[in-house]
Amino acid sequence: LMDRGTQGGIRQLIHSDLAGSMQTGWLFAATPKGIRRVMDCFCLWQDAGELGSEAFSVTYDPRQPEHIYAATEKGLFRSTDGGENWVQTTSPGSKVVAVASARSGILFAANEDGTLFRSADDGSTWNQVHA
Amino acid sequence: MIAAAIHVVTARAGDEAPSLDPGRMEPGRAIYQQYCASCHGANAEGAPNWQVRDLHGELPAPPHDAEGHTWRHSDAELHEMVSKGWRDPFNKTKRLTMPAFGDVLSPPQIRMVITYLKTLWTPEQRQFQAEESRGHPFPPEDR
Repeated sequence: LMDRGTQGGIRQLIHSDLAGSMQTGWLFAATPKGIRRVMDCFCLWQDAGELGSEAFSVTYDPRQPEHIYAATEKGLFRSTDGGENWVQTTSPGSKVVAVASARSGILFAANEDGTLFRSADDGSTWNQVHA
Repeated sequence: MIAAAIHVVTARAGDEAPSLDPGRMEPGRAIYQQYCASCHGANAEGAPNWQVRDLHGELPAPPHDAEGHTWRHSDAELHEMVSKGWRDPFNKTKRLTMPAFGDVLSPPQIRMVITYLKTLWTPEQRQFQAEESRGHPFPPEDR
């Protein structure tokens, strides 16, 4: 029994506690065609909004699971409605290829040359992490 | 139709799929035709383009046969969805995506219609669903 999955490959797959699933939550996938979403019963893969851009990474705010972040070819995007609509946010440095969220809501991002950044305001402003 | 359903169950029994209670299958089929077929199709084939949201952001009724995803859910989850309904959180209306039938169908009737749906699945799907249901069976009032 295999799920046909999302076509074209998956760069990153995360599980979210977003409400409304028929099972226990949702999976969000960063794919070459944008962000795709499915309940964790694998009932129906769907595009999450219309990013229309290759996505490298996806994360969500554990305090507000409907808040999703996507690192894409066109920059960093934020959704406040579970991925239905996206708004471009400030991207730190050059192309962001990875994004992650802490339980506190602090966001972390890495650009393609490995530079790390941190945001404490939902991605509006970023500070470089000198690790 | 009855003969076809019995044939399917018999054939699948040889593949060691979980057995189904024949006493629930035919009443379940009748309940399905009366309450479910208008949305999910006379043969549980689902609404046309069921994978595409309509203009209101609503998902059309999915199939309940082997092409659908009903078999992915445990007995307890299926009972709850039939009884209480379910709303797709990305539905742009206030309506339930799946209406609630808890005031229309008794718990044993809900179990009957779910038993009928199981006759439409492959042996592998029925086996998977049985395993999913092991820890999440029908509620006691369904028996």
